[in-house]
Amino acid sequence: MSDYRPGPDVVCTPLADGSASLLHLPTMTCFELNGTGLAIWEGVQAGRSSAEIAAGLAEAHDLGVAEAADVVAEFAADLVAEGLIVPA
Amino acid sequence: MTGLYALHGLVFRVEAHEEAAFSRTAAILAHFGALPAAGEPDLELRWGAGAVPVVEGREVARHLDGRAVRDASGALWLLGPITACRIEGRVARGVLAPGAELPLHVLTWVIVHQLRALGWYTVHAGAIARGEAGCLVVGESGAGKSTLTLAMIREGWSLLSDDSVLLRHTPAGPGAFALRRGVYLEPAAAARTFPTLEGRWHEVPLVEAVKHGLDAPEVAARQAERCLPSAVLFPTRSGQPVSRLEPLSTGETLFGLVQQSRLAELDSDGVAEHMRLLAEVAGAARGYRLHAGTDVFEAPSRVSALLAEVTR
Repeated sequence: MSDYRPGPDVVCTPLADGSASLLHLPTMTCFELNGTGLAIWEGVQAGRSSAEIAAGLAEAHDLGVAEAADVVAEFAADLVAEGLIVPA
Repeated sequence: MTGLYALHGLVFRVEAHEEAAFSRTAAILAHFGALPAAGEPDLELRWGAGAVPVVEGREVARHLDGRAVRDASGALWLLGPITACRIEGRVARGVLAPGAELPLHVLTWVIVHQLRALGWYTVHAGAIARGEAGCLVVGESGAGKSTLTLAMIREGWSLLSDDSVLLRHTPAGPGAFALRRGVYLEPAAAARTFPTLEGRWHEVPLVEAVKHGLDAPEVAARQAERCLPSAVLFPTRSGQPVSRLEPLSTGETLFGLVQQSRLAELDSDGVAEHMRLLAEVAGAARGYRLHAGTDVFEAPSRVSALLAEVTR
């Protein structure tokens, strides 16, 4: 079960170099996502739980599951603080 | 009164209750480069006289002295002190207070919104071209877009616009299309930077009062309709003798384009597609901060060569 969902006024635009841009419409603020950030965003968008996203991240980047979970939790907290994702 | 005007193959039908509103609308369309035309209209602009109605609905954007509201039926309204315009599909029906002059910014907002629904997106940027390839020159008013554009036209580049272009998907990639034509500069700046053009600047009623238009056949002769942007330049005035280019990431380029794309002034419908197109531009072209030096007007051939290197 998902922990978060994208904010209602956020547009994600993947870029040709593998990164992405998040546009927060109420503030017209742009945020850059690197490849890892984009993978986490796409996991949230797909309705995956933080644990599932972390498992995917651990496999893709040869990380320990606990370390990947920390990365996801920290990044998710940043996105929540900016209003880019909200608790599901 | 009615008339048909075409811009990049799009036909606008204008209908107005009185000569003044009709002429004003036609003049503003001409300012954007539209010419009298025939054919089936793609978009309609209708103006009538009357009191500005009170419209209840959800506010979706603000624009200068007006606000955009979507009513319960789904129609979009631009409401201002002397005008109200209801946009539904390809038809915009406006009401103008008796005796009032149609504000440029109101009609611009309506046209920009209608064009967006057909896949044409505006960006506050100048554009110059060499053949098919071109540079977008993106920045706030005062960033030096017009100065750079004029200097490069005099070096043989073609002009799309010094201020606003339309972006649109084309089979060859994202294309830029001329919107506002001509070159407009503040007279004092023009005299300082282009002394040989003294006496060739004239007032243009539709442009900000502080800027004058250049009456120069060589500019009109070098007008281009479209280009494929291969470089996106964000000029800043460095005060140094020599201009230089600082490469930007794709994300930085996109961010700069977003800042000058009027997204905040428009209804959020269509923003995702607008962003995708801007991202295509940022991906297809290379972005640079142009630290514009005094060589823009003292040694423009050098700057032209610098830009030619990144416009291929």
